[in-house]
Amino acid sequence: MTERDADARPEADASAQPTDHPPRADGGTETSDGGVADTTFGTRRGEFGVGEVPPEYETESTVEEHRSTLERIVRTLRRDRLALAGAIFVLLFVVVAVFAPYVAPHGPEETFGLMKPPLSESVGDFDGDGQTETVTHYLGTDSFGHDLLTRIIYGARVSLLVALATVGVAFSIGTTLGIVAGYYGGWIDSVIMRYVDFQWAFPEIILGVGIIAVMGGLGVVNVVLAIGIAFIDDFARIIRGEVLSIREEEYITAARAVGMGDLRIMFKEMVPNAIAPLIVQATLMIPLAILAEAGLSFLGLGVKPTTPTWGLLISDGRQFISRAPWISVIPGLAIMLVVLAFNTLGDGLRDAFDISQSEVE
Amino acid sequence: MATEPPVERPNRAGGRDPLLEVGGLQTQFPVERGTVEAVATADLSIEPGEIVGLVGESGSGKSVLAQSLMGMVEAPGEVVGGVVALRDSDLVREFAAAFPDAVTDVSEEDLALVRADEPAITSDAEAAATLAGPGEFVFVESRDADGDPEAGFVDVRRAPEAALQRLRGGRISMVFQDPMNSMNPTLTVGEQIAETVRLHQDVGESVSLPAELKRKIVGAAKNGEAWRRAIEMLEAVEIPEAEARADDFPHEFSGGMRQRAMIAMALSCEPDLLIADEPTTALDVTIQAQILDELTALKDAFDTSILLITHDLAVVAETCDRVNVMYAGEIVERAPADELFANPQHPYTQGLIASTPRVSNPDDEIEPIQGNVPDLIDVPYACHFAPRCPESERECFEREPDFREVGESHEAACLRRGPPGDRL
Amino acid sequence: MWRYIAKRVAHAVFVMWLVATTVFFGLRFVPGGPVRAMLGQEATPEAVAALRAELGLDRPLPVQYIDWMTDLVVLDLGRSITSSTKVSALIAEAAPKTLSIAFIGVMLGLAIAIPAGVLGATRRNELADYAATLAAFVGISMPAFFVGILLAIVFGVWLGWLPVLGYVPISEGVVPWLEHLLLPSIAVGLPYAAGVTRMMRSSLIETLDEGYMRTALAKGVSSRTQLYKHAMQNALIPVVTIAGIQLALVLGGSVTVEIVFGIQGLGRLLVNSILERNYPVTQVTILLISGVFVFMNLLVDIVYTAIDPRIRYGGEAA
Repeated sequence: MTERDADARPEADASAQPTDHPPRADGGTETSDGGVADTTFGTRRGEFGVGEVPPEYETESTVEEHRSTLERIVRTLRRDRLALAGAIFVLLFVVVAVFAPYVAPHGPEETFGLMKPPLSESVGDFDGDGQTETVTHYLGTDSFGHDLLTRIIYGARVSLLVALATVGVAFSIGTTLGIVAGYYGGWIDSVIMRYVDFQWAFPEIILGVGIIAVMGGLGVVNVVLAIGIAFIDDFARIIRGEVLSIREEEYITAARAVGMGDLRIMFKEMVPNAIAPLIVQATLMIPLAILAEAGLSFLGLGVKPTTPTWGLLISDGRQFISRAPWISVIPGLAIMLVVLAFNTLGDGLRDAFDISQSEVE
Repeated sequence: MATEPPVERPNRAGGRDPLLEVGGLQTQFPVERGTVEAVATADLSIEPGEIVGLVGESGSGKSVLAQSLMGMVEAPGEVVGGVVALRDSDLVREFAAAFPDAVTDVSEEDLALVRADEPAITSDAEAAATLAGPGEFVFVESRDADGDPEAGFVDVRRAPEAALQRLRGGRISMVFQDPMNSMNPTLTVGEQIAETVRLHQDVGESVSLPAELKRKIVGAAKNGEAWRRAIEMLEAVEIPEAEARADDFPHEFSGGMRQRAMIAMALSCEPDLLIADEPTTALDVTIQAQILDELTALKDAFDTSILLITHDLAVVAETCDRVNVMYAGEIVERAPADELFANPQHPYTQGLIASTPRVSNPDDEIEPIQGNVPDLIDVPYACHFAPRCPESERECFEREPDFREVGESHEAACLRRGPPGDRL
Repeated sequence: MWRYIAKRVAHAVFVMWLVATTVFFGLRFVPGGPVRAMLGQEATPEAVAALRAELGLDRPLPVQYIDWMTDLVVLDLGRSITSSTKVSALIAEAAPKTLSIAFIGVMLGLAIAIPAGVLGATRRNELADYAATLAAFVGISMPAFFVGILLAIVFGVWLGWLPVLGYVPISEGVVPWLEHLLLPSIAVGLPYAAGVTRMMRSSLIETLDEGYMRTALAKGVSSRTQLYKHAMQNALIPVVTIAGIQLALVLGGSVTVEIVFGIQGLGRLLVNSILERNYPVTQVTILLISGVFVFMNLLVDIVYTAIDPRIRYGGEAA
């Protein structure tokens, strides 16, 4: 209905009066003789011509095409409850991570009673003012006596920071490689794609561990580089596919015809047109990055051991699973919920942009 | 169309009982914004040995109509009303034996009563169907001296899944548009044909799931009757070296060969009716003509009727005996093929013909019909073509068009056609 | 078909060569050089020179490279720096544990994923589908080591059904071996199952939508035969791809899960060697894990020839 209405509407409005469209000379004669009607189609013979509808039969047109990326995202969130729930949780996670010092009940290094279960209390003078306070630990304390809720809130910072930085690294390197490969083709494409294939044939966590080993030493920067490099291939693959499919489009030819340089075409014309699958991919890479960071931290190869991260908390609690299972379980649930939220959001977006599962993931 | 006055049905020409009689068929798809009426009360009949065309733009509902005839409308779509009567005395005997609880006897007197009650119903099948009890779909109209069914029909619309599985491929079979996608890439061409034979003909080969899986893993018995028949069918559709090619997988066949193999599969059990849904649309023009010629020849050899669904008027003109024109879920005109092209009556048919380029007069101006088939969600106006029609009056939007006689065996559903007195 | 297999084998060998080369150069570009990294900044020049000589780092790079490659081919993997045990002995000790966990995990994962995916696809939008989809969604959102900890708490600590620590070789009995491996295997198997279930479900749904399924319906094929004879094999083609790629998840998961269960496998070996800067061990361990992954994916490629006739009788799949 959409296109017809879009076409028909202006005409119908313009010709509210039938006299706007006088019958043509060659047709329109009422066949009062009872003979066979004129078979010339398109000749107006009735009150309402082609594309004209009595006003009371006009219907709302619903134009679905030409939605902007942002509109589609908003639309998806409106329709897909699960994706909306994911988005809300992601937002919550980001807010908590960014405003950790204001949200957290205590400082990350403050210590209380050791291995206190959730909802228990510590009594003592913790702020050094000479008076005894009672502190409630909603999620308990860890084996060093840190308030678990506080550590998790600060851990969210590390997770978010690492995830964003990682995806940023993977995105920028991967996109550049992919776009260059797709745009130039030929041997450049072969070399880059050989490399991507090679990297693809590597378990990501092992690649990350290997990079950590080469760089030697722990720390956020090393973790970001290790995971970021390990994720390059996914972005390179996607953007190359997109570039190949839009390389021959008319607007690219037009851009070339008006003398646009290669770089400008690549980044001004091609990237914006491939943005949808890239957004989806990035949304789906963030949870993978969070999981990878947690894995590295759990192995003790991630950030420095004193940094509050979820992976380290789980690793720390591992030895106390019979005495204090919450130390591992609660940070594990935090990872699961955040990853789940990103996954539902990413899945919703993928459906919204109608990207096949094989293309992105 | 329910209030349509009884008219002489031109489609009952010749006085023979039609092989297939479709009455008041209605297929709907619930969607978010309402209900899509993909097929709205369609009537259609096919005589034995006939090729009947069903023409319309894409989106007119012709494929859904075809699927409705085989009880294979995809969920959430549903055939909500009407009758699809397949008349074949062998079939009625077979089904009466297989589904004894589903048999209902209808006498001439019963039908007369129904007709008197509801003048809108004109076909026997539609009248008989009103008498069906729950679960009944085998209608016996007369019995011989032994009490065995002699004449009658099976209502495909009311048939349960078990009966449909027997009908599909055996009595009614179908050839689809895209030969690239219609054959299973993991089964040999021969096996795909042999499977149909095994399912519908008594060749003494089990079709149980374990037997089929064993065949799939170990390979089909090449000395079996079903396989032999598959090779015969491939020969019948002129696949060279049929015996060797039967072992090929579909990707080793060209598009034209695949479509031939599909036709072989569809005809392998000598069905009463072959539904060909745009069978040549995806093929090269030269191959199109070959396939159509073969289809026509095979129709006689296998004693099958064909319902040919297409948007291509040239195909219809060349192949069909009679034509039904469909627009937006409704059949709007029907006539013998020659008559339709010589004297198109419904404004939509006229537009369709005007918009088709002719090889003989390539310089003729082609005038496409402006706009598109409306989406069929709760269409508010009566004649679905009215918004695109150059002749529409206010009444066209308000009153359902009924069929009017506009020529020899020729009728059109347009208020502005027909005898002068009735014409708007 | 043989051409295709030969091509895949060649590709696998090529990838392994690339991995070995990367590892070789990677470790030589360690900031400050591997010997400094191993011995620390305070090491005497004599100690550095001695270690360099022992590791063969004093020879020209091309010679070292050729040596490295020939050593690999004849499986002479060198000695550990810290214990001067042969690296091959360390690997022989650790690898069976990790690979057992991975193998049982994959088997369990597939045994869960394929029926669950089929159930989801055939009972679309019914309760069983929602349950399977939700479980799969949660499954892909949990790191294997966390699943391991949950399993250890529930089945080890609370219920006391299964041991949560250590490993018993199969030579001491299949039952104790399995008992010690069951929880770690489930821990790596569940996230794997989640990914494969999702793929199985979506692939089967896509397959059921294909034209040839409509043809099967139009032929009068029963719905069960449609599913198992006509749809299954086609639906499995992309599932096999994902099942292969996701083996990375299993290997990575095994490395972390064995630490949860105190099993001295490749993961422990790798982490310790990195922390101790025991480069000979690190490089061989990484090489081995990559080799297993490449080999498994080679097997996956060969499985393709069995399920996709387009590969069996042609060159590449379309």
